[in-house]
Amino acid sequence: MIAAWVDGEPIGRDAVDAELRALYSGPGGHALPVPHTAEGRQLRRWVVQVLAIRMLLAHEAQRHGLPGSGAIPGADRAALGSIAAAALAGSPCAAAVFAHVTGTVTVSPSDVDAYRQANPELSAEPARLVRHVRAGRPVNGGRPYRMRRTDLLGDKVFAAPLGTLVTAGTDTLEVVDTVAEHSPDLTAQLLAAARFRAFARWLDVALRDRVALAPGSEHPADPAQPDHTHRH
Amino acid sequence: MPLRIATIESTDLFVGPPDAPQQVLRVTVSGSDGAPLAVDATVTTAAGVETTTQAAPTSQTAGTAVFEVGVVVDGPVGATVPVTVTVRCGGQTAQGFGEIVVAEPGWTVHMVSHFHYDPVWWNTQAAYTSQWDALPGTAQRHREPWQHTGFHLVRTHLDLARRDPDYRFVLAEVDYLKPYWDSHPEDRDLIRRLLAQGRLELMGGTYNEPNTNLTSAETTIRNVVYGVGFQRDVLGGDPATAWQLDSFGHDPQFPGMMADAGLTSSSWARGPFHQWGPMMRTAAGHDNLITDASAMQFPSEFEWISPNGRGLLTHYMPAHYSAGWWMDSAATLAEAQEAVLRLLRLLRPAAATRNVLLPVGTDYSPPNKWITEIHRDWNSRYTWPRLVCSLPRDFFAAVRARLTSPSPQTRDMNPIYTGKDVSYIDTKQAQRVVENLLIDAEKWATLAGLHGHARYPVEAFDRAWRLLVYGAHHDAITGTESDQVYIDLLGGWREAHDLALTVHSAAIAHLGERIDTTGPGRALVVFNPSSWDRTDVVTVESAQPGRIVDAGGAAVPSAVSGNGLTFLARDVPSLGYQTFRLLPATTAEERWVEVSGEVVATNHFYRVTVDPARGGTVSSLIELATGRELMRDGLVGNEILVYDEYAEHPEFHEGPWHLLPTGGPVAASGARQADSVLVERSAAGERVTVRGSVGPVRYTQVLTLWHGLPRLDCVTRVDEFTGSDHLVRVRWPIGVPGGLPLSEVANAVVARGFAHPDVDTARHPWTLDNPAYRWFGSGTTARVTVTDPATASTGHRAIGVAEVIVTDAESAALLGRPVTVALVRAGVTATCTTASAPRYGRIDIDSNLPDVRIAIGAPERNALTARLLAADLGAATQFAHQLATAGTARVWLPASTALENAWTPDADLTGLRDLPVLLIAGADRDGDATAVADLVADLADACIEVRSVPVPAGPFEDRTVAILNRGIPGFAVTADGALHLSLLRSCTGWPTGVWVDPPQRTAPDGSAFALQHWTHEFEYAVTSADGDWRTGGITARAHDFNHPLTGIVAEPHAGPMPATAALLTVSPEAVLTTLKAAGDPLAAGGGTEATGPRNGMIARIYEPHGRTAEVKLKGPKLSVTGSCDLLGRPLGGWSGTLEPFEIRTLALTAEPHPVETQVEIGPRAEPVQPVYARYWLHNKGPAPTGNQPVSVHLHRRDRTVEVTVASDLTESTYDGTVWITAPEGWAADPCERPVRLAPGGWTRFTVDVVAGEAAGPGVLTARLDHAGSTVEDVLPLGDARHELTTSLVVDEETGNLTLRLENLAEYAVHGEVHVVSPWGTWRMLSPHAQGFDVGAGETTCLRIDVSVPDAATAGTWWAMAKVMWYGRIAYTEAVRLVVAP
Repeated sequence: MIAAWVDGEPIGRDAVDAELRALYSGPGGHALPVPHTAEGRQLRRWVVQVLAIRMLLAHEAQRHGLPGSGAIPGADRAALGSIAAAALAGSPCAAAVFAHVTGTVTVSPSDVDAYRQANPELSAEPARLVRHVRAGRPVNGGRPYRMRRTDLLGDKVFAAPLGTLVTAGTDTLEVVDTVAEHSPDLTAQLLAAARFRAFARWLDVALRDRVALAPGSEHPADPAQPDHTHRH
Repeated sequence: MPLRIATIESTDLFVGPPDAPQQVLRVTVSGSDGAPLAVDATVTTAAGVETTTQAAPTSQTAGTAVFEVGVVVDGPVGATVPVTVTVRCGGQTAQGFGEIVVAEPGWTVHMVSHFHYDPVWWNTQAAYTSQWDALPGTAQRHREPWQHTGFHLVRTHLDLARRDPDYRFVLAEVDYLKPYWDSHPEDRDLIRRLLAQGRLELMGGTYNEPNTNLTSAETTIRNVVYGVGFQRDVLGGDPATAWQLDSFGHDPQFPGMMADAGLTSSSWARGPFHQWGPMMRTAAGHDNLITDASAMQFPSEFEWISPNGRGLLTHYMPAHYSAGWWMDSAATLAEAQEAVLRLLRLLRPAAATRNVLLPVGTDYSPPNKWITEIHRDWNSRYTWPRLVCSLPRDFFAAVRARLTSPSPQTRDMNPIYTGKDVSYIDTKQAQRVVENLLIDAEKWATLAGLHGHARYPVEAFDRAWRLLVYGAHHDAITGTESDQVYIDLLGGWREAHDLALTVHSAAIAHLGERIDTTGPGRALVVFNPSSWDRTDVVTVESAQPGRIVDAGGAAVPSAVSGNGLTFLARDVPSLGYQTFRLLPATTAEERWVEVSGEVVATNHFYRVTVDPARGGTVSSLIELATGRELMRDGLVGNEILVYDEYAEHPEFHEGPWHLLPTGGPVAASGARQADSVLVERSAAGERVTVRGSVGPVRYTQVLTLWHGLPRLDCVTRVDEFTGSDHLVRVRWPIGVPGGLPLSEVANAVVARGFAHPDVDTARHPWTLDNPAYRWFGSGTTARVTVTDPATASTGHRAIGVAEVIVTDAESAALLGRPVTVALVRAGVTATCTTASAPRYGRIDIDSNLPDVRIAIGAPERNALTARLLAADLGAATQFAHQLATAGTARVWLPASTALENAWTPDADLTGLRDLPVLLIAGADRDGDATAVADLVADLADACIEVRSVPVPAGPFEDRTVAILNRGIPGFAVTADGALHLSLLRSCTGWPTGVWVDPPQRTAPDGSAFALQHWTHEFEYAVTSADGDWRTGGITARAHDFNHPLTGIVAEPHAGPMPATAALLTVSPEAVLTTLKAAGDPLAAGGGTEATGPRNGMIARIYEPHGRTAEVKLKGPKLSVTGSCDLLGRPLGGWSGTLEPFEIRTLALTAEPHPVETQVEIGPRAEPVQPVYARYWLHNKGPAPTGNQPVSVHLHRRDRTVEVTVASDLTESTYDGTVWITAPEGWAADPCERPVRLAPGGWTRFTVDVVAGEAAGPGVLTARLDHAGSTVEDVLPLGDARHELTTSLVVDEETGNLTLRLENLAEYAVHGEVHVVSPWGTWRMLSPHAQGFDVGAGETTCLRIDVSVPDAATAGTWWAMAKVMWYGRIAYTEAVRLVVAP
């Protein structure tokens, strides 16, 4: 009995059963739906899709002569979906195929500039190192701490030259130093998002063109299959 | 091959300027040298209009190219216009002939990106909010492909908004918003910026998506208090739309309440139609999964109107809230665009304007991958339709701009998902009792602050209400949750119960201390929470029972059970108290005495007879005042019925939220002999107790008639239940002949249709059960009385659910609205349709059915009237005669068959005379308006007078029977007059039994908790009255049944308050539903210092009978100063007039009097400190006591640790210190960090954490103090795993429970323990919550006291302990809890 075909190569129901057995007997298996109910059949469908993507990745690696490269355990599930994320996490060809498919994706400096300008809160935030005495008692054992502009007395501290004292009520703050805060790598952020998006697009088309599903193995979200009934 | 036109295809797309759009023709052209690259095209219409375009191909295949050519067309939409197309390319010309079907320009699809998040369903709050990916085991990866946690989703949507300036989206439920807002404060600036830019809209105005048809109106009002409080006041949004996507039906008063709270629209997907709406069918047996929306009888944008006449512009989602999500699976942009266009075409038939809202999102879904690409690409190519990434506010603004007369709909948006009324019935019982107790606790606490010196316990009330609001979620109160979620929710109801009871008792005790109780013996002070003088039974717990006398010294009969003393307290003043005397017992004890002979109980009002041979069912119930037998001929009442159910529906698979009988009852208690029958009498009343077995149920039923009370109190106790896929109902065949089902809803009463409880749901899926608030019954809410003008003979027909048919959209607003409003004020809900629309009345489409039609307008204006009169010469003659003589006509056309015959499980009532029709008309449009005005005036007495023939021939009795309930909402009244009350069920369908955090726990017998295999006690009462439910005062009886009197025993002492007093009196025409201190500061980040009755109060009242009423409120030390909205915002003065079913909130001030020392009557903070900042990881529901307005969170960022501190305070600055503590062997710097935050402010700082040589595993903690609480977050360091083993042991000697906690970690662990046990046991197990602190490798034991009250009934329940620490949870096995007989 065949559950699906990838590039014409069959995935047997026994492979699906084995994967399901592992899930049910693994940790958290008790929370899975009862087999042979609608939800149980949905789980089976989910597993078929995962296996199909794994096979697709293997075929793709073979087709392009990509070396075994390891899985991608923490793929962006929101960009790819739980099925693809699970497949990438369980495929030894995942990293190589991902790199192959997304290798040409780039982000231009002007994209990054536009992104930075549209999102001022992503810019690095300056900080000051202060030593604080409150009501005569040294705060934090007399050791300085880092402060943001929006913090307690931040405006005064940021206006004060290094080495001077800022006082307010019973608080005395010595401005010890300026601190450069780490700024996020916006290029890396944009590039990662673009790569996952490109991979998702590739995968969508590849699945459409190269995977055939047997009755009972339809995608769980396919509204035409009879167990897709939980629309809430 | 020469240039050739292959095909000419008409589209519904437009290009060109918006005000002069050109309809697009798709022309496929082949050329001599392959596909042409460009053409000059000229299109000439039959009228000679010529449009010329230079076009580039939109797509190409071998040898052919497709060109889109704009054409100026003129003609009515839908008309076919012949066209001639001429193309020129490279000197060649080709011509073709085709047709354009004239399309309508101007359409806009508002694609609204949303995700629907439930904090609880089959998975837990912790998992759904943030931990789904972190749960143990690969099995947790399985889920719908798109599903993510709330946190992940907010992050993902925000990230896309950052990258893509075209992206717009909505956020909604406070259940994830507040945790995100507090734990990710670094996104506050971004969120505020997106709100300001109009790219983010906060939806709901409510805390969550509650099932308002299963809670009180007050719980719904608090839901919006907490929703708007957070979304508007704390977060800075502008919530305008009651976004109730998934709620399983809606309370009829919901739109009015939301309008009164200042919301301006609503939108949702469930109500008027079954399951997924009028467009979708389940898969099996339906080739066409989705059809267009033309089955709808009214537009998808309409005015949804409450019984009180207040309305809200509403968008119903005909293709459900996920409609647009599915294009996410499109592999290309073009396919995704085609999917959107297809939905537009399907939705268009129902749209009221040329705007369609397309919800693009589904359960826990990330941003749709195509939405902004469609937005950019499509609108750059076409003028119409526009496909825009939009927000609901933009959609509603566009609708409002066009729709001046929205279709008026008062129709009942029920019953969706009948199983929701019964599954996990104990949570519904708990909800009802606790909300009433809490409402009464607020009243007494207010009065204790006004007349005494109790501090208003704002923190306790706030926490209790938020727990109830959380539990009102549509996957919580509905019983659709998994077992583990049920256990978590049960803890919330218990905590709310304990808080309400604590404050209630303390407030009454405080008042009791102020009352002058001097006199003989001891004082028995009886408190009445109703806003009318009341006579009712009260039970007082007293260690020393005695003889009771009233203030005048007259003996008051009583009855003793255990240490409970029950007596009839007469005329206890409105929201006040009366003092009786408890004298040492001098006469025979007032015990219940067994009597032999007839199995009968009697009081002044009823005589009930029980038949032991028929299971102890009721064989006779006689209303003594009239001598009337209420039981239908030969039938028995109070009969327990057991039904077999499918585990999941054979076709649409779902389980717990549907009732799934396989047919009629498979067992009935009346079919066999009762095991025992006991008849007892006491001075206070008479009762019959029967015991027996039926199917999987062993039961005890107690029927009590208290002397002086016009009701039969019933208790059905299910002593043992072993059912699996069984449903248990109780049946009373006492329906009034000619009567219709009546149902109280939140602060109103409406009629509802007959049900089909005995169908096989595989064949007939819809049983039409409904949820009642506190009572349902049989009788008349409105009627048509027809008098034969010649003979003066009359006949009556009760009406309950109407279809009002008007000419067109304009007349719907002008004529339909006044009629539907007048009808609904009389309890008759209505669907307003136009004559050309599909008729209402098909059970395969509609979620409910009508029993009458009202057609407005003469035949020339109303095609339905024309058809009716054409087919009925007699009626036509009468109609014409009335018009000629009076200028208006009102004619009654009886149905062709009796309602009970037409109302079948596969009913199609859309035939011309399937239902009776009332024709209303004038000679012209003005005449129609006059006829409508006459009808509206006539409806003031809920009786429509008609003079025509024939008069209705069916039976009609002007009386009412009703069953009052305490948290058993599910009811079904069959056409043969049987009143069914659903008690409980044991559905095994998914997600029953699902348990997420291992090890799996079950009830002691190994069954899933959903099966409810323990003792249950169901309380209800049968009552009756002559006349309708208004005359009979049924709502007041149900109110009193749900708000018991409270009595306390007090030693004699002097006091400033008199022995008997009314503290607040409301005219009997209104019901007081709330009296509380003004303001809900903790909902909105405010301080509690100024909140107390002496700084202002609010009283909420409503008109219960659908009549205009003049109402006065008065009470010592207070006065009414004006009116406010539901959120307490002042509205100005108040005339004293209540409109029918109006809910009115009044501002009250206290007379100034000296402030004394304040006495605490409720807790201000969590009982267990410190409070874990990430409360959702403990599945504890809403934020802790105080609403955690200041929080601290630890975050691992690569190799450093970051601390964020965030304030939700909106009025005051937070000034405090964060204390960081490193585990042994580790160093953290800073360890002390002063923090001052402006209102709404936040900060962050890094902590350098260094492991010393001796560093082992441990946890880093961060703490801060605010408002009497310490908030703590922890972060594991090293190899910290927080292992704790738990076991619950029963002490055989004392019966107490001991929780043994063994800490396997190499460091100390502290946390919190809750005892969890079902409804019915909460007073037996204490404390509910306690803290623990256990050292490394050590074991500690915590005691849970078990105490059984003297009056406790025997039964079998269970208890478990839930242990929570550092974001971890463990549940012990459930131990059996037995109260032996």
